[in-house]
Amino acid sequence: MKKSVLLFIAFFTATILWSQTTIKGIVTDKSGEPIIGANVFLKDTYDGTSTEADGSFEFATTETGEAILAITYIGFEDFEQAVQLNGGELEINPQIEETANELNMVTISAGAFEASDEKKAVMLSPLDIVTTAGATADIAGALNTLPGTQAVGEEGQLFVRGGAAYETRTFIDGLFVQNPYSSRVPDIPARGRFSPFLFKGTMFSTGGYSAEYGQALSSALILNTNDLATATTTGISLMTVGLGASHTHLWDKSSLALSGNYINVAPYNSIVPQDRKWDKPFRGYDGQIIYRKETSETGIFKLNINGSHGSLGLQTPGFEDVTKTNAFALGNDNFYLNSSFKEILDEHWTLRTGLSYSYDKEEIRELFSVNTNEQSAQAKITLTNNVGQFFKIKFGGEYLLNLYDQKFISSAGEEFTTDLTDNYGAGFAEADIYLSKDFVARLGTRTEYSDMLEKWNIAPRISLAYKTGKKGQFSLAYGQFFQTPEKELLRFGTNLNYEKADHYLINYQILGKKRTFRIEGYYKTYDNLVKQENFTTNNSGNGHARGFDIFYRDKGGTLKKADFWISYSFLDTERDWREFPQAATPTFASRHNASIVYKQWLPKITSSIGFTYSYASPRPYNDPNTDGFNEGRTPAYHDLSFNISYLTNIKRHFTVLYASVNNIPGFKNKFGYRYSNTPNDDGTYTGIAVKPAAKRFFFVGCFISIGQRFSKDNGVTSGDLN
Amino acid sequence: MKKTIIFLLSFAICSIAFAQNDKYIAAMKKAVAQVDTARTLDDFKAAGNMFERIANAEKNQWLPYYYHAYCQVMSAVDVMNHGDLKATVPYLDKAQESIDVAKKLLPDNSEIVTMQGYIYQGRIWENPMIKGAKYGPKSSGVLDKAIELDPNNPRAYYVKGQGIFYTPAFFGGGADNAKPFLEKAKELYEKEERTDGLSPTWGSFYNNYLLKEANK
Repeated sequence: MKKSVLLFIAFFTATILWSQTTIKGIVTDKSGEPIIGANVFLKDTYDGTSTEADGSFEFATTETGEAILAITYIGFEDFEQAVQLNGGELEINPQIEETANELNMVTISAGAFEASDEKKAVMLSPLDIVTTAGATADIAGALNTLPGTQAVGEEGQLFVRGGAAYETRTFIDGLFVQNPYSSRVPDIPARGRFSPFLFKGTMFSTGGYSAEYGQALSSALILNTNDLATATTTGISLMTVGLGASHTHLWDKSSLALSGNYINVAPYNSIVPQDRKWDKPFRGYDGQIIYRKETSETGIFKLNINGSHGSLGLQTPGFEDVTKTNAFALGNDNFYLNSSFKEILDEHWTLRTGLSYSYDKEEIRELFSVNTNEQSAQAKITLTNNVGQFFKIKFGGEYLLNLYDQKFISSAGEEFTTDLTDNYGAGFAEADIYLSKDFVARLGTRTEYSDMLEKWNIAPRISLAYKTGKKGQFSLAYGQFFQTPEKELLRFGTNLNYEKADHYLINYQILGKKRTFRIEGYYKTYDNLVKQENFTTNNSGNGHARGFDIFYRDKGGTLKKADFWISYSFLDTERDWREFPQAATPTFASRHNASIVYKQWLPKITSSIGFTYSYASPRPYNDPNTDGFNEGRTPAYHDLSFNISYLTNIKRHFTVLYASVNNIPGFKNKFGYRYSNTPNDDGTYTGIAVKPAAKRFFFVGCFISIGQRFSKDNGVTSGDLN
Repeated sequence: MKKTIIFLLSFAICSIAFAQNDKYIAAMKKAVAQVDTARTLDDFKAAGNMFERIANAEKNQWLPYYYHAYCQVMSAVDVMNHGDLKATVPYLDKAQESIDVAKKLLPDNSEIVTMQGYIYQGRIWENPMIKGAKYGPKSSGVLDKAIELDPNNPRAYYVKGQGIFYTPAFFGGGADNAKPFLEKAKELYEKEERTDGLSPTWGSFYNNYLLKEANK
């Protein structure tokens, strides 16, 4: 008995000794550099170790048979290899691969300026938009300091690379925005209807953008709204032009925000002298409802509702005789609802859906009257599949119903009505193919059909990007872009085709931790532009634009707690369109544009100050007293703006005091000239300069956040502010 | 003879089962001793590797996952202190993975919830100006819950106090607002005793440091 036990034990011990395997080797990366501190172990066992300073490891195991050797290391892909444990020594020298992620992977960069807090390629954050002097917290105002844009002071919209304002389209959560700007008033710049604080990310593409977006000849402004609110707060804003209040409530998985503003420019106009005569300065109110619901750990439903009413009256130069003015009055009601749903279905598939509805009513009274009603409803679905780390495919479709009716009554009492209905559908597919983590190709195509035009189009898009080093990368892009002609042109008949643009881009950028540099050259051709003669239209217009953009941003890299960027754009463009008698540079295109934006954070007085200087070379205008067309040139445009934000507490409520002034030196800017339609007695046409409504614009505001979460014990943000 | 063999076999089986638990306790004690004395990035990485290996063998124990997350957070603290803000992200991603497993194994545990609050606080470091607005309140809310779950958990007060300490005063942060939390944490740390040799006791070192700074 005793013997058998001893034998049993001896046998057992021998088995252990005999079956012990030593595993050793050196872990390196793909370039052969040793990896220090990697975790090397046998799966589902305790056996393992960390690699030494030379990447080597050695450990013993009593496991036998088949096992899996696993290696993990931060920033590298998990490594697994099947091994046979038969006792003795096993040598394995694994090479592990760096994880391809946003930080080290090539991204499509041609044409795109991303402003986001989620992505790597941050050019401007939402907060940057608000603190840019001269932008008056307007998204388009801040984007106008980026290269590729042309300063067109009397419009307030984005003009990109020789394109007219309508060629830039705005998208919110992937859906078209029918009226992104306030109603157009002659020679008064429009403002965006949406606050920059609504968005967590802004992508401003100046060309060559994704097949997901259509109906924009020049540029896409892609805005992505915030997710769930982060805190329950109440806010009050007091401004020189009005006041506002908001309340946000945060529950466990949902949030609701309600806000409203009342704007009345009359008190401001009575203090600051205006060059235009206002019969009724702008007065209006608006309200927003923002609802978020996290439907699961990965799903989110978003609802944004925006309604506004505004009216104004001012004197505008007469059409027949510019020296006489007529009363111009405008009333506008706007409603916009945007809802979207996003869910990650499984590890490969992501679903995005969206529904939107827009309503806009505009009434204009001058000697003539125009009543316009426009409605649209849109549905969109997008599916993304990450087939693997190096292949991603995105496809989807959208449908848009647009109803437009306009009644125009001329000063002589003639009535013209336009009634348009468009059923528009589009489908798109796009694949991102990574040949390595340094080289990516994006191939996409988009097809559209409009039943109003009764025409199809197919638009191919291609982008390539190649990473030349840790910071530098080259990109190339080509794409075709189609856009349905503007409504004003369709009232003479819908027998028109899409206007078309081809973009060719080449881009080089260096993205450092604190410095960014990019240069981009482009060439664009325009075809099928609408020409208008008397009351007929056709698609015989065309044009081109070419130039280059340079951008440099330095965020604390050279000057402490200072952030500045410099933009320069060169543009050479001509087009033959609309009522042009020949190809010419349009009045909105200036050859040289430059901006310098400088911001300094002053921790001692918890304030941020900023300056923006903008320059635009002379713009063309047409003087009917000369033979040529569009050969007049305005003086160059200059602006120097300043702003200051002071952060403080009023009775423990977080408060921002904000002040800004545009055109400090008082440059006498002229945007163009307006001429009488009929010659005067000596046979010449009288002209007057188009100027800003006032030489300078002042703004003072105070924004108070009454949130128990702000003041009592916990903060909003942590760490140094810059 | 037969009886003896059956007895021996059942004894062997039992001892294997016990041995497994002993193995766990022994491995954990070693790893916890390592994390208790860890100061540098390499220390935390090595300790983190040990916890990862234990979690790999014992998939139903929450402590290895919890400690693994802690080692990742401390590694992120180290790279942040060396100025590489972006490098904090992969560590915090890994910490989040582990704490998600811990949460599933043991829901509503004050220590685990505190670690979640610390991870959210860490998310701010990547870009304080932008991430602060999102993760500041998120971290704070989670830490409130941790205190509610166990009002005697010193780490919940310490991490919360730390968040307030580094928040600018005009956002309701600063040393004065942090002090009550740090003092409460100190009081609880002094009473804290580790009976099983494994439960978390970290945090008093930095809590004392912050309290000293706050009293300057």
